[in-house]
Amino acid sequence: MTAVARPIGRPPAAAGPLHRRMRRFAVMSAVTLVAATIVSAFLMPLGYMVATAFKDPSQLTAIDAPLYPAAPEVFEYQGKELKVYDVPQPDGSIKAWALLQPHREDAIFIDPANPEAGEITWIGRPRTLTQHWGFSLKVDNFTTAWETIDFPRLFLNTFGIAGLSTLGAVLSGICVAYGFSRFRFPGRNGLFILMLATIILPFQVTLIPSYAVYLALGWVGTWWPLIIPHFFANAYNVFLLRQYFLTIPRELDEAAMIDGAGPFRILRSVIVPQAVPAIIAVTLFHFFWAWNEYFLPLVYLQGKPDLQPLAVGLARFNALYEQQPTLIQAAAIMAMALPVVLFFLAQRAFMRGVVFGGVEK
Amino acid sequence: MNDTQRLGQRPGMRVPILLAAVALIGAACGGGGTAAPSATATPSPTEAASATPCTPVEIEWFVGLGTGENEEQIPQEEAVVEAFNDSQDCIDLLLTVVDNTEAADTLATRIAADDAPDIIGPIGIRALQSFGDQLLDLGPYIESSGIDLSQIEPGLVEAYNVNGKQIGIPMAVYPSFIYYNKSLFAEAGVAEPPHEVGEQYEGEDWTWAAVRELALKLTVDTNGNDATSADFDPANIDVYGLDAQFTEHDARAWATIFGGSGSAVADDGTTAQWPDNWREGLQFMYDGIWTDHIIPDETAVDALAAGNTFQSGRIAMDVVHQWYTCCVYPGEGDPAVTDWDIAVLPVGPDGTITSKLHADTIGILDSTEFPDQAFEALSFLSQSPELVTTWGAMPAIESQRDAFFAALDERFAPLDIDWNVSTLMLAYPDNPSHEAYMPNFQEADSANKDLGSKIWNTPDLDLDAAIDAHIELLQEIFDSAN
Amino acid sequence: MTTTSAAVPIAAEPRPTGRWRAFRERESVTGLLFVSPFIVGFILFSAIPMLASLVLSLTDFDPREPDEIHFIGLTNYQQMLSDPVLHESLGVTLRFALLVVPLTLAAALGVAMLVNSRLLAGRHVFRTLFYMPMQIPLVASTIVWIGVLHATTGWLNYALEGVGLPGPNWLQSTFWVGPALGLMGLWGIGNMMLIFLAGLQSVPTELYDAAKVDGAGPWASFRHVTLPMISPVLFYNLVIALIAAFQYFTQAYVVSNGRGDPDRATLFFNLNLYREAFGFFHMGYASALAWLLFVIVLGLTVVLFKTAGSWVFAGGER
Repeated sequence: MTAVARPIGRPPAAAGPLHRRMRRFAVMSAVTLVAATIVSAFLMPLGYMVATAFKDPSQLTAIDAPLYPAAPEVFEYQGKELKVYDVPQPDGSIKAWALLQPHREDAIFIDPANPEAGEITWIGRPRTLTQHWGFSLKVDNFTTAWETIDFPRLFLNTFGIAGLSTLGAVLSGICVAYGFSRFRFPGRNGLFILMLATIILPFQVTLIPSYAVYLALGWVGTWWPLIIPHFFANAYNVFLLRQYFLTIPRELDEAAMIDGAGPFRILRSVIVPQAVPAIIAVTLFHFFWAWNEYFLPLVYLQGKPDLQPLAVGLARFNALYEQQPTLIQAAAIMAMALPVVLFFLAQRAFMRGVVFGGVEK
Repeated sequence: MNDTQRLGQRPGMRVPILLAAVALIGAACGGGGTAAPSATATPSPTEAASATPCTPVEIEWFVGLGTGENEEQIPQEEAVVEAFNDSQDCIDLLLTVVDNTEAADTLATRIAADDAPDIIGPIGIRALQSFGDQLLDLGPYIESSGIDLSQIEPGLVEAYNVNGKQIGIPMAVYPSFIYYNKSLFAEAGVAEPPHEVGEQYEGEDWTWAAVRELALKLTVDTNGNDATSADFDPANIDVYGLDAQFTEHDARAWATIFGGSGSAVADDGTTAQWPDNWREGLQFMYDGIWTDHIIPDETAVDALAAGNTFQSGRIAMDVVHQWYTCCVYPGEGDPAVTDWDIAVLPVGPDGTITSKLHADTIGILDSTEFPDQAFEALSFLSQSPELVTTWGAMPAIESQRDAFFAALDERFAPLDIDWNVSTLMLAYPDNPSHEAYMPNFQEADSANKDLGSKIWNTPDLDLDAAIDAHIELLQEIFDSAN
Repeated sequence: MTTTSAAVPIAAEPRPTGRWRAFRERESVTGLLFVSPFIVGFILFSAIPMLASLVLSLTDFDPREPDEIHFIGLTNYQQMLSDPVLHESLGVTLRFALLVVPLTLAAALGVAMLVNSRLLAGRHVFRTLFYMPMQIPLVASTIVWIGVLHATTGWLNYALEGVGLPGPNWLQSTFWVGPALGLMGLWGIGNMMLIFLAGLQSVPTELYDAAKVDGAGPWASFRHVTLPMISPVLFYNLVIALIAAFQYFTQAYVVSNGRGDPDRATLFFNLNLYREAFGFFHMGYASALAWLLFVIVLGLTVVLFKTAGSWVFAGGER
């Protein structure tokens, strides 16, 4: 077997190599264009998020503000910052004047080109005028978020909790999934359903008894309730890995068996290499789940801000600036920067893993 | 249901009882052995404080049910805690701060798991309805410690006397009044609202009808037509004349603001009702939103500074409490509101002024193992003016108020806010409170908010019918309270 | 393709090797050994809370007054029969599950195939982009969506107006709030996509070549090669999506002020349960509700597992 990828949808062999490459290029461009369109629509809320994060709060509610981050154009007059509007003149022309005092049916303007001329009374409705906006990035939102939220400590805590719990979840998940997918033992199906049952019962009603258990163990106020249980396999991961293991042909196990391999060695040298994409998927899946997990850390780490993960710190920030979406979005973007980079790197490994798996087949 | 078997009596026995019950069930189902032996250990009770005069005991202060959970407030609270810990050796006071949204959940969880904190607060009157029964009667402690309550309005002290128990010492009060945007008044060319009780507005009595007239002139669409004009376009409103922000859908709160004091419970304590002045109040609000278009509906509110509507610069008058000084500022950024002041509330349909009042206190959970030490810490906290200041509240203790307003003046300079309005309004609290007791409180409160949500979101509502249905629903809820 | 029929109960006879026989004899023990982390963890961390909640469902437990707990038998379960709010919340949840489960499954599979296609340039980047929403904490991403879906200032309605469509009031309309949450659900397809991707990448390329030799077009090779080969992960995604739909909570909580606004249109089962448990402190009744949900979802899951035999490919099962 070869690890080299063979493209689907090859053109007829009769076509020349150049023609083939041209056609392939055209198809690729079309597919990529479609994908780009879909992903732009998909990520539109992210665009909204970024735009919001760079805005001044006042822009969000100004009725004629542009969608991109902008600031009103202002003219400084006698120590006051006056906003600039397009003001239609009797002769039909439009002048950019600074609004000093609006009234319902008239307004007093200053001409920035000629401030010495003083106050100009204009007859008309200032509420109907168009305001001047200029592109402007409000970076303060990010500095405020950075200063208010102790990102380094929260990142470190989140890494600790998510990393350790992922380690436990993946190791125990592989082990248990192997047990469920490759061995027959009495009560196997019942046990499997029991495992799924643990994720079906809503956590809201097991919260208090769980808290009592962890309190009795002396674990409240520590990371342990968030980490240790994952070393005993969780249903999401086991189920996924089991599904994947089921697709690996048994002949491979049996061949290894004949070569004298025991169950552990089969797991290590047959199953795991075959299942690298699934294992990486589970790793990412669990890691980002743990990364974003909010309620349990909140409950078990309340009153311990030094131990809390990012999601809890971010929520506190959000509660604090509930009426300032600009700050909230800036903080959220900063919080996601690291995981996005991690994911990008991880899914490159994901690809390598697939190729590696292919070699082993 | 009343002759059922009591499961547990003593605090400290809950966890074992819970576990024992589980183990029993497990054994009965033939699945014995499911109860993990390792988990049955009870947290060992902290050693009794009686051994020596001063074995330091831990007292935990749980913040988050009301205000006090904001990032900039925490350092102040920490400083007070530290000051207390430095002042004596017998008590180790610990501060736990939880977000407001999860505070009630986590507190309930901890009480249930026998891991309750000792002191809770600041809590408002509403939170009392949820956790008031769990609070210790401070009466005997106040008496024996000789704390002087005479500096506090008796009505405020009374507000924290629940079922004969004095469960808190009032610390902070927040009267409500009208915040108004002076720039928008100048633009509309209308006079500013009264700052004195009894003062007329443009030759008319200062009533809600006068407020409505004024708000119509202040409400303006993007074509520059105000709401008195026939050409006014309600689909494109730029400035709204009136709002009562941060009321969280509570129909009782709105009814009280626009209608005056009242109660959803009749004097017999079990019959649901909705007083006529409350009907009028809600009708005023409903018409203000859907007929006059002077008050924003929920969709509009969401777009106005994410609910902090006055700060959007597109609300001319806003009925809010003293604590709103938290969130209005000329300060950071490019604020839309640069020039504002406060005005007195008008006379309501019941013939009197009603300034819906919020108040905060701290209390002691009756499950505490060390009530004496907890009270010692509580009295220290309740007499630390810097705490009240950091919560943005007017101190309940009269002699501390001047310093409080001076601090506000410094913060809002160069604006010269007429804080006398706030002091005036303190004399007109809602009685009974708009957050007062109702049987089956949480459900009844939720039903009130459902009604508020309907008013806020439904353009063609038959309000009278909705209120009638609401009374029926409340009655059902009251009746299910045993 | 002949190997698509599945859930093979042991096919081959045991090989006559001594070691193999010994292995077979010890299979139960070995299997249990491998599964033991779950068993131990279940006993340690799950069994007590689960049984405790079952016991609590037979009581009037109020978490604020743990000493005042009473056994009330099946009263809570009886009360469920005549609780209109519960019935409403079940309806809301069922309708949502019917919308969102197929929608997200189809979208995730479509996207996974797209970003797996060798005809797509920059696949790494596209994968990262499609996964990005998963890296925003759920509450924060819901806040973003509330902004995007706003009737007058939201970008979605700006876009709709741009193409001449009237944008609805997504979040305040009892009709539109369901589709709005469905749209939000699409943002959460990242994990499903990843899992489908893992499945797609495990399909041996020679199977496609073989299908091609047999004259299969793209649809036929999707239908007869891809689908059967990824059916195990499809099954996984289906089960997990179903469980998630019935446990839908956070987004509903954030969007609806925690109360199921507008007019209970977002009062999902778990939101109602949460309100009973922590809003009204009816923990006993909430526990009963939880067990009702448990029975419904476990029932559906078991049914899915029963049908799995007929459509889920399992080359390695025994």
